[in-house]
Amino acid sequence: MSTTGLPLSHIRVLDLTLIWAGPYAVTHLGDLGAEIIRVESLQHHITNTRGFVPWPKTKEEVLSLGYLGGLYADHDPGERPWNKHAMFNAMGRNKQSMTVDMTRPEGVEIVHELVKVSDLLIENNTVGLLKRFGLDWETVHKINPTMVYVTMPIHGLTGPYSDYMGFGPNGEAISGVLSLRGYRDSDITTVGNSNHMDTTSGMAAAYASLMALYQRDETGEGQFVEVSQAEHLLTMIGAPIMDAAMNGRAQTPLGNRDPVRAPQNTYPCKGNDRWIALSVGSDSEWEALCQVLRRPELVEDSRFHDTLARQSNHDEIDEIISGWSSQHEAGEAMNLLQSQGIPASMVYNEADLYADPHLADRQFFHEKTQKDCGTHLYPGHTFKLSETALRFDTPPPLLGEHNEYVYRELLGTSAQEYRRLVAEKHIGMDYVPEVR
Amino acid sequence: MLADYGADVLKVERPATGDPARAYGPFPGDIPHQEKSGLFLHLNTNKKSVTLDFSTDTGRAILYELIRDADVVVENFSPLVKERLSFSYDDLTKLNPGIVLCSISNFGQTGPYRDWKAVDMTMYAFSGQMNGSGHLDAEPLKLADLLMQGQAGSAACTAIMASVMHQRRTGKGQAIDVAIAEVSVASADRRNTALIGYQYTGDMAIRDVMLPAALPVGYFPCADGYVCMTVAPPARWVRYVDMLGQPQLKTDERFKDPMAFASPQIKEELDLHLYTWLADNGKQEAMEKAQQHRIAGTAINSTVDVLSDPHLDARGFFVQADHPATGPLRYPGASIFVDGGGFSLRTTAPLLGQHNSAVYSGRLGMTKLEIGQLRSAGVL
Repeated sequence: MSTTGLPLSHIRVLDLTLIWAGPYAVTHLGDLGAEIIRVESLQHHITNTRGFVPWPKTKEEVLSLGYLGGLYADHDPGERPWNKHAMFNAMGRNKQSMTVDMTRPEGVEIVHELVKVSDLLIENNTVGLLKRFGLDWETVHKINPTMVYVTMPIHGLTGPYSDYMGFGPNGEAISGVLSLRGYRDSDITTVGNSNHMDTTSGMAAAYASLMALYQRDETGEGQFVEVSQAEHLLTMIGAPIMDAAMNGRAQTPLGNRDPVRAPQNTYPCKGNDRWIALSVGSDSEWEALCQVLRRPELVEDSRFHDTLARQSNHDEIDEIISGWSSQHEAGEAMNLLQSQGIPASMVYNEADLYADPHLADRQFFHEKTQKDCGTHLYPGHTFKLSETALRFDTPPPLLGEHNEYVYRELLGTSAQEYRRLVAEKHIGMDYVPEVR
Repeated sequence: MLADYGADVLKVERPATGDPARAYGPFPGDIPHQEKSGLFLHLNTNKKSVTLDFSTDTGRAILYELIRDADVVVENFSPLVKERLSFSYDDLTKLNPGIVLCSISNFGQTGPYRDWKAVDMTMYAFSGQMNGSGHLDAEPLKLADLLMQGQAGSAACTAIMASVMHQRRTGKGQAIDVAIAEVSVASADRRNTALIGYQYTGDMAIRDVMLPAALPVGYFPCADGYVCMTVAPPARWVRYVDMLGQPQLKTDERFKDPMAFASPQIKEELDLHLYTWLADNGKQEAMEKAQQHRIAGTAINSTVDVLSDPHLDARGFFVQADHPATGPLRYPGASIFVDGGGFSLRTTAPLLGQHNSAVYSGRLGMTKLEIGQLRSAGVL
């Protein structure tokens, strides 16, 4: 892989992450040129990483896993379903996969050898889990004092909840974020779950990794980095938190409306389940909207003459806009509104995004062929750099695809020893039969 | 995030009104005041402030002087305004060849939608995440607060740190293009998975809970509020039935097959046990009991609950700090911990132009007279 010139081309990452937040962080390190080695195991299938269940056998089983669980290429589990699930593969670019059984002492020794030749270890397992495999910070630091070690506990490493279990939605619950999302005057159980914490934490961990690597470039020293996920999410809702701190007020959901803009909402368009989202933040935008609605008389209407009035009569405005929007295609409505300078977007679906001219113009999608999935357009990078274009070299790795590179080239394992490790199921490309 | 973790950040604000965020609430007692915006106070800790109108020639010359000594410039003008202000990467590299210019905009610096307008909700709609958020029988639902804006800021920090590392090694600068649209389309929650999932299967994200399984994933009512449960089958099965006080289910033959958890009948049966259990427990209590059984059950806190949460309290997450206009307030604190440093609240958000004299006379060597003249001319 050519990473020359990229900011992290001198960095090798040991990736012990799972599910969404950790892999999302590592994706960004790979984009920036780091060599990524995913440490996986034939003896342990991590739920919600390479699929929800290890080994669905038929298309029917795949379909019974529901929308997200069933996202295997062609809904066909094939011989190695773990290489075909969208959740892992969405974040798999530029990553390499090796396998080792860390529950055996020899496996731990192998990973320790990898620690010696790597620069950064990153993980988001249950707090304390890696200690069981001799991969806690103290041990790793002793083996390689230049290693940066990034851990992503949900609730941080100290305090009464530090060993509490949790995923994205749990972090959103504890941090107050969930209390701010929902329909107006409706309880939270009517809302499907959200996992925005994974997105937030993943980026925070990428940033934290870079801060530590930057310091290491200067000092040559490794360090321990803790990214406390729920607390980090909390820093992202500063205004409502400061409102609580200043005024003792707990803000509640406004649906799609906004505390200082009006109107703001989503409105139905022609077709099945098609919507336009729009937001008006000033009198001039309101005037422009009235023109688009072909209702110029509303500009002078005292019910709507300023933001405060539009807030008070939001329901009536919603009705007027819905009457207009339901006569238009969502894309047409978006173009009409944007042509008059009104913030608006149709509510895109996946097909819309793949057909969108703006994303196409910016070359957001990348066509890649992965052996078990075939050729597809993968979503691309979060940002663009002018001098060092981000990397999308390889498609998501098959389980164990890079064993040969990692063992033979990086660790210098002999051909004979390699065969023994294959026989003893450290090395391979299939989960052991017990993982079912 | 750059200032909080140690960078020396100089915030350049327009004279008189300053950053528009100063006019956004919340305000103490809901009384608007330039120095009391909760949003501004939160987002601008550890920064210095100068005022400068750099749409004037004099102002631009002063800004260019400041850029000569900077490592990084961050801006989020619309691309049209940026052009008008002579603020392109080419303009800036002439002053400082190693400069990292980070530009954050709605749709990026290129492309047919470059000059389109957006707010957080319309960005969420554009990304398609919104189509899978909410309830199937209702309209698509936006995220809490303004989370995509924060995410774009975090993405910018990542790009900036990488570019600064590159700058230190090569001496070369970089132009960073952060499009909030792409930050959103490339994000993790129901986006990159849903996009490649669509390529793989033709399926699209649905507005529903994401796991249909019989083990609870979602939000549930309890005695005094709501709890969030994320219980993944089948690994947590034994712990879960212990939590519910239904140990006999452990040996029930039906649950030997992990696919059983996808059955609607079994979901109904287990839900009955869950709702009964929740009705007997408050949210804090339910969380503690669930967690004793190593089950991911969590109280759904309001933002006021958060301020008195015993865990955040024990960790000292909130930091009390005094500010000349508001007096003492509690602020969200550290979330990233690094050895020998990391976050500290060194200073609260600056008053508008608080560092004019330190910067203009201290750094640029202007006299008091010059500063006074520029101020009366409206440049500072």
